[in-house]
Amino acid sequence: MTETIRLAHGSGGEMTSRLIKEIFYAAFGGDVRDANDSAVLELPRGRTAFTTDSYVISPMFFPGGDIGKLAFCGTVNDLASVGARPIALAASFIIEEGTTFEDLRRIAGSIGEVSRATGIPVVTGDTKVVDKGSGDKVFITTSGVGSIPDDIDYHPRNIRPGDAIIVTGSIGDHGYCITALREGIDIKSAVTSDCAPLHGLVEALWPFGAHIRAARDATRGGVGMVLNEWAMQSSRGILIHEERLPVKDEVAGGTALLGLEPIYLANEGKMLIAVSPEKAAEVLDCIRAHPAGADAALIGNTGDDKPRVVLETAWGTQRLVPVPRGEILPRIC
Amino acid sequence: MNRDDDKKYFHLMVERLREISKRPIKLMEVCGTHTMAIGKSGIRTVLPVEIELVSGPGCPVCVTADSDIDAFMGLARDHRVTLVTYGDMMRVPGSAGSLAELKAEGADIRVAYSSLEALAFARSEPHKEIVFLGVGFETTAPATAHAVKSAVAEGLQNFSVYNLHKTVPLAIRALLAGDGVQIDGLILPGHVSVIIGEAPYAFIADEFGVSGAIAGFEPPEIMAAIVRLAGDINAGAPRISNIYPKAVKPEGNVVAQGLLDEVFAPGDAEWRGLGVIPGSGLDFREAFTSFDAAKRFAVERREVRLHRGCSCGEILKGMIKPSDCPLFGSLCTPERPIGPCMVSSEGTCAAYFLYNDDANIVERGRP
Ligand code: SF4
Repeated sequence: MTETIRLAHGSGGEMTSRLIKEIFYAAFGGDVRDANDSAVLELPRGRTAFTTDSYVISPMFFPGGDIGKLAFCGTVNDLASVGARPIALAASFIIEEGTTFEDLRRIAGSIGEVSRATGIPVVTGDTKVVDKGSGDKVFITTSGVGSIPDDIDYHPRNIRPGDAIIVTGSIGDHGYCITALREGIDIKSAVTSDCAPLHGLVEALWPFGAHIRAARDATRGGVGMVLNEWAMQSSRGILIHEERLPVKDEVAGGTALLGLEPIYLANEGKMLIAVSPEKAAEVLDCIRAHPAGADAALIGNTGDDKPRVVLETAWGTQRLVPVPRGEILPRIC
Repeated sequence: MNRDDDKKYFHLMVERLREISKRPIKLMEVCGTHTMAIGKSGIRTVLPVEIELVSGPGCPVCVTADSDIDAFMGLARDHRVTLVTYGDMMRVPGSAGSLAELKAEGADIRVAYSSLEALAFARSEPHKEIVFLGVGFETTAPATAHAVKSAVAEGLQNFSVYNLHKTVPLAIRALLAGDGVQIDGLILPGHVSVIIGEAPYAFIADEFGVSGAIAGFEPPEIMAAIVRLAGDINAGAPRISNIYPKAVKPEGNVVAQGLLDEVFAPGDAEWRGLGVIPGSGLDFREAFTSFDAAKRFAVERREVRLHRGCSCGEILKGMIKPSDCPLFGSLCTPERPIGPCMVSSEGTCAAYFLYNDDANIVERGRP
């Protein structure tokens, strides 16, 4: 019989200890005998970035990742967005009664895998079990701390007229992959989620200092959402060019059928970077030289002082890129 | 044609239009799908200043009269039936909230993509009264007719239609005959024309001396229609052209026309902004009246006028632009729509709000 999580696994007693030891310690490493109520960290001096995010994606497993990898990378990317080097993460699990040990092991395993690959440890966490129907298999909250070098300040208020806007790769892959999966479209051979940690890519941009004005991972609401936020926060107009947007053919075709626009689809491994015009070309080369940024493209510039986003279409016409409205896609991350 | 050829053709059309545009011309795109396509493609930003595009009465949700909105809300509210509707109707505000709000309060209201889904509900839930909200022009009406005929064939007793179907040509006639409407040419709806063909539009040129062009929905197709109309208007030679021949046959879809004629007869219909237009509705014929939900459930239709200050009526006649409505963008937005023109995915106010803030376009050549 497949072993499943029962309410008793969340009771705090012997079964909880076993769960934590066999699943989480096994996956994340560390020694159970060292366990304490808090992890104790030594932080470099200077500014510390601190962030948290919850993950409820459905389905939990998808081509290119699962909820575990997503929860890890998502928080790493939030740290990277402010230019921080991630130091450590925390992960809390809300598990629905009846979830199989196997699924949980797989999820924890993929967190362990990216943790080892990136050298960013998961140093603390928690598990709760809720009765059947009160959750949906596994929800994860991850938090992270990172340190920011003294000369790095990534914030949309730094954006100036004429700055270049770069996206670090093809857009809409994650959102399309999950939607296609839910709609039952066969995408076995084609698009997978782009779920990936981006702190390395951002670190490679540190030498450009204040030439990098802002960075943000384009998750829910996609590139369209982030650009609208930037326009508002910087009080600048942004003009982007449809033909320069890197969109995979399958995503372009599939979204057309589904009535979606790639520009609003979630990404889990793509950053938008605003950079000074002088260094735009160099920064683009630098991003493209990084394995996570091979398909990067310069998609537009900031302009006048009317905060909105304008798209120059493939036809040479222009239109607004409105803020995405209503429910975009539920449980996409 | 591949994409590059499409682009070349589009630019050719833009240039041609610039050459021939000498005096102000006002064109109306009759159909809401065109309104959205025009908004989304940004075509206005490359038109010569002489060419003005206004939107017409071809958005089925937008032309639904307040009295009808309140009537079907009433039907949904007393929980006797399951109301099945196209998604666009869900958020249309009535005098006591929208269908979406009624649903949240517990009314059984379901969104479907076609009348056949409603039929499937009737089949699988025989203990429920399934009412399909039949909204739309000649494009969706044949599907409703088909569903009704299937219900007859299967002996389904628990299926009926709240029928708000309307036909386009008579609305165009009412519009052109109305006061204060000055239109030089019409971009005619591609989808409706697939069903009805070219002939029903002949009166536009013959009686009103106005040109019309049946157009597809891609930017080059729309641009080609504009160029054709501008040329005809300059030449003073009104005519109806079909520049969407790959989809629209001169005679239309004869099978669908037969289906419409079998199930429906012309009746009076009330249009928002245009009032009651005799013959522009599709009433059930004698043999099918038992499927008329208005009769089956004795739905009361009272005269009401909702939303004071909403100018959808004038907008549907091309008399004012959405931005001329004092509520536009302030009190009325897609999240909190006051009128149906801001709700529908084909609505003129929604299209302007989302894409066509002319004043906001970045100065050409500047980043
Ligand atoms: S902006 Fe709103 S209130 Fe004004 S006409 Fe349009 S839908 Fe009606």
